[in-house]
Amino acid sequence: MRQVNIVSKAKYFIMASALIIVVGVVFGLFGGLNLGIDFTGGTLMTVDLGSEFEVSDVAAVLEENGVKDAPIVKSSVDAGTVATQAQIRIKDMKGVKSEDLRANILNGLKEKYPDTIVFEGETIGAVTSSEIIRNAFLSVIIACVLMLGYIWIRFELYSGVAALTALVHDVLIMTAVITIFRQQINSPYIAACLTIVGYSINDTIVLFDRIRENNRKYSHREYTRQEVADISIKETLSRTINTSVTTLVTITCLYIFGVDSIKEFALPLIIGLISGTYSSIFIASPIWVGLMNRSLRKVGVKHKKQNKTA
Amino acid sequence: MKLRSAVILVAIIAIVGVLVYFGLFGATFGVYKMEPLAEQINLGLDLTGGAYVVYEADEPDAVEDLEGKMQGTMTVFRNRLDAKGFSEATIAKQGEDRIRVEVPFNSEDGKGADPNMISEVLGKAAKLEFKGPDGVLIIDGDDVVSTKAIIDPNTKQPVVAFELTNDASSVFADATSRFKGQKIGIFIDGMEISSPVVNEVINGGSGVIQGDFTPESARDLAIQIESGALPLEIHEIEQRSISATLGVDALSKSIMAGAIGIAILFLFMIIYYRVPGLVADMALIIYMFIMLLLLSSIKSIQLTLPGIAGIILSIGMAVDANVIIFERFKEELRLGKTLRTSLNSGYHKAVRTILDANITTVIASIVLMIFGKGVIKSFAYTLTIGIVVSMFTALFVTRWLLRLFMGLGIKNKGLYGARRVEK
Repeated sequence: MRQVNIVSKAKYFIMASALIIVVGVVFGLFGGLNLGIDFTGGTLMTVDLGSEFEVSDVAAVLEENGVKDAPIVKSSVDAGTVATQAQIRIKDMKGVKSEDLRANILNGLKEKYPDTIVFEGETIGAVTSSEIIRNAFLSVIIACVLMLGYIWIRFELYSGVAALTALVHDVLIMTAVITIFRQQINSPYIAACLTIVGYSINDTIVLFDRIRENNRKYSHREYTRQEVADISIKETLSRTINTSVTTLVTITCLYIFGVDSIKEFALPLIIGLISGTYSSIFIASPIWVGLMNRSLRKVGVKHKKQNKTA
Repeated sequence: MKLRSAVILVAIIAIVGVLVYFGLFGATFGVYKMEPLAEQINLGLDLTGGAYVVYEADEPDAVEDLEGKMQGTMTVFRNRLDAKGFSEATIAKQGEDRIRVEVPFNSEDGKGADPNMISEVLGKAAKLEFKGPDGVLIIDGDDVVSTKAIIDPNTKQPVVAFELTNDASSVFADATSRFKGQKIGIFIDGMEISSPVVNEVINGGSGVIQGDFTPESARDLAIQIESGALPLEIHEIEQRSISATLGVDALSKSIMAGAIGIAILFLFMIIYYRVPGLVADMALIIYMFIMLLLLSSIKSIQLTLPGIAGIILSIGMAVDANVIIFERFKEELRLGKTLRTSLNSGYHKAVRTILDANITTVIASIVLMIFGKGVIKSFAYTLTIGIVVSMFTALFVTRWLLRLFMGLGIKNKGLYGARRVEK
């Protein structure tokens, strides 16, 4: 039985994660977060002008309606065909009714391009957008408190704390990677974070379940908690990897074959799934060992093989 | 024993096969017709195409009887939408002071993809006023019983005919006698649309509004006057529209992505876990059938794009439960136990793990179901149902099927994934 040595090297794994998060923060500070209108409020309109068009014409219509510096992206329905669509992103304007603004822009465009139709559109008021964020935060906090309570009852407090730390780690990694890739942050991203909050804990629990079992099997006198954690990680490794792979397969297919709005959801999920598997082995377990050792030292449990590095 | 297992197994495969076939393609039994389950699923706007608009009351705290006025506004919305042929539209109250109007894309008349059209139908409150030459109000829209767009037989122009309540009829007769020979102004939302000269006293309580109308605009005005001004001042706070092509595209691509993902999963399970893998695949088919059945029968659940993601995620998790069981099973086999003992003790140990792992996830997804909004809610619904169903199939169906396979006399441990036996 080949030994694995994960817990003793924990500081390297924690440093690696911290590095990714720091790079994310640096990107965020200098490049800014690419927040979608779900967060900022405003109007996103994709119009199909029916024929090839000049971006300057669209900009002119926008300017007539008092919209300045609105980003306009030209695109086509199918790759390779003539670009007939314009995606316009307008900030929330005080005192202007968004329904009037949209109607005016559409009419303005129709003057030059009579076949113009609205292909896709979205308006989110500033009030709604701050509600979405508040609501998401609230949901996560409630979910975390309840999960902590459940783990506390079924396992012990340290497992709960370690599992939740791993969750926070996963959400931070997801946000960092998304920031580095400059993917837009919209409600699908929040949904993805919430999914990972629910799913990543699954992996951690499977591992902690084995630790719980082995804790009874391997006495405190003969084994350090570090050894028990390492043994448990090894025993559950194929499980941990296979459960993640099976879920990753389906989500990756969604990312490859899905439409844009599902990609916005699938990419953070993929990152979160990988991070979730990583964190249950390399982050949650060492934290549990650290917490356990501290409390064991307090009550004065002595190991036969003290300071053994396995 | 062998024969019994074989018969039961064949029967199960046959029943599941028939059910899946009916589920996918529908069936007719004499007078009873069963539609394919997939067609009965309530699809969200992001999959059908369409538009929604969310309105919020202005300063809701200052409004008296907000509840009643919200209901009134929703009734007016319903009237206006029905009058315009948007019968598939849904109007729902969101929270205390919001109304959400959803109009799915209608493939027959192509209506519903444009939120501006909904805003136009809903947003235009037509407040009718008749004012005397002195600017004093004579009657208003509340006094009107009914309106109708007709072609004036004399001028051949479209006009709006109206009928007044009894009380208003006498007020109107009184005013027309007082202002005979003078102009009466007809205002819609404060704008004068015509100012006819009173030629004679109007007694019957009916009359026509002339103006610069087309047949359509006369009809629109008639609807707007009749359904009255909104009881509440509202403004739009959110809207989204998805073109039908995009919606249909999203649906077909997600289904394809799901199918490919599941096919890979099936292969992975068979190659890695052999007989148990095959059993897991059969259990997965049963799982998907139950999901389809639930989604199509619980009408309050709308399947949206994030909902599909929730299903696909829960399929991944359904496999997870099987993986946990099979790994345990293998561990027990490696200890040298017999197949049946390994299955029982493996299951026994795996159940606790699966329950703990899934209950924590269900806690999170139920919180999202209760507190989440829109996109997140629909995702949480399918995920919660998915996890519960997957626990059922993993804990009961897989175990039962595995026993049947063992009963068939497949005793080679290698086929159950134990490559080496550690003694």
